[in-house]
Amino acid sequence: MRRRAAALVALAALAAVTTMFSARAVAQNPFGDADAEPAPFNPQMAALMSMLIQPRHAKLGLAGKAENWPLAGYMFKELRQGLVVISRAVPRWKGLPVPDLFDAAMSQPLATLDFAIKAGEPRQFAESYARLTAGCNACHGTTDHPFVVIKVPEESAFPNQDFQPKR
Amino acid sequence: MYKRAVALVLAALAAVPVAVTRTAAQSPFGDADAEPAPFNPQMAALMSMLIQPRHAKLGLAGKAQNWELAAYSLKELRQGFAVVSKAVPRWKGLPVPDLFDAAVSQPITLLDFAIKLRYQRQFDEAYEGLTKGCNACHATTDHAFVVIKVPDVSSFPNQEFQPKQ
Repeated sequence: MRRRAAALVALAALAAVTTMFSARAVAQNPFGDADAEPAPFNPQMAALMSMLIQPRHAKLGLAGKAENWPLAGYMFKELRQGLVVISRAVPRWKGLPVPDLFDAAMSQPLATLDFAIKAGEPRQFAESYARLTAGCNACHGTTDHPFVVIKVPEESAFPNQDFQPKR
Repeated sequence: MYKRAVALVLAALAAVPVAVTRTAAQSPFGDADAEPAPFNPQMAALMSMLIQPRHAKLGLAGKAQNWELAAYSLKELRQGFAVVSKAVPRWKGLPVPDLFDAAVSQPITLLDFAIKLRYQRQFDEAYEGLTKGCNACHATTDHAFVVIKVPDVSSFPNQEFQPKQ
């Protein structure tokens, strides 16, 4: 009787170990399964921010600093469009309404930036751009990402683009 | 008369293949009247969009001992590898999740420890290991000429990497 119980315990232990190893086999690789069907690329907030917003924010700042108003006007339009694209792709992020967050953080500085660019006013541009940048950081703070700190760019990170206006 | 006929034949011979070729494939970049296709980035584009910038940001955050940002960048980098693995599970027949696992899992685990412990030297070593992993994988996949390195300077002039004092 005792031997039978011991055998049953050993069998149960073996089964548990086997299950454990099966589970490891199923999800052995933290990066996924090479034999799975390719999944469509569906970038979420962090990727969209890095692809559509951060570079456009930088280019807008560099264009304004160089008083290259046609380029600043274009980057301004692209930045605003980027915010629209993200609002459509991720309308809610961690339960928060993304279009409303963008509106609260960006709409006012965007309106004054638009005015500054059309008027070709470097001081107004610099002030509005600083407020736009503050809006980015306010939104990061609201969404528990205060450690992602955006600032006014001092130099270009685009070595293959000229930001100076054509003379 | 003979000369004129020869000239006409030559002209016709010269014109026909060009006309046919231009009509069939006018632009090497595609057809302006085609339906817009969904954006479906493959390995090179995904590497440039999701991995290279996150690798750089992680290095810059760790160098500045901005551990909160480093933790976030590591999470994003790891997530980037998972996204690439799902989008391109096999690349030139090679199993992408397995390549990533072999190249970066160990340094990522060490980086995770270093960041949680706020241990600069451990971070630097693990980050170096991660960077070597990138290059080992590039070599395995016949892209040894794409050499990743520890960043010396930021390429994100509108982002602050220093921690808040």
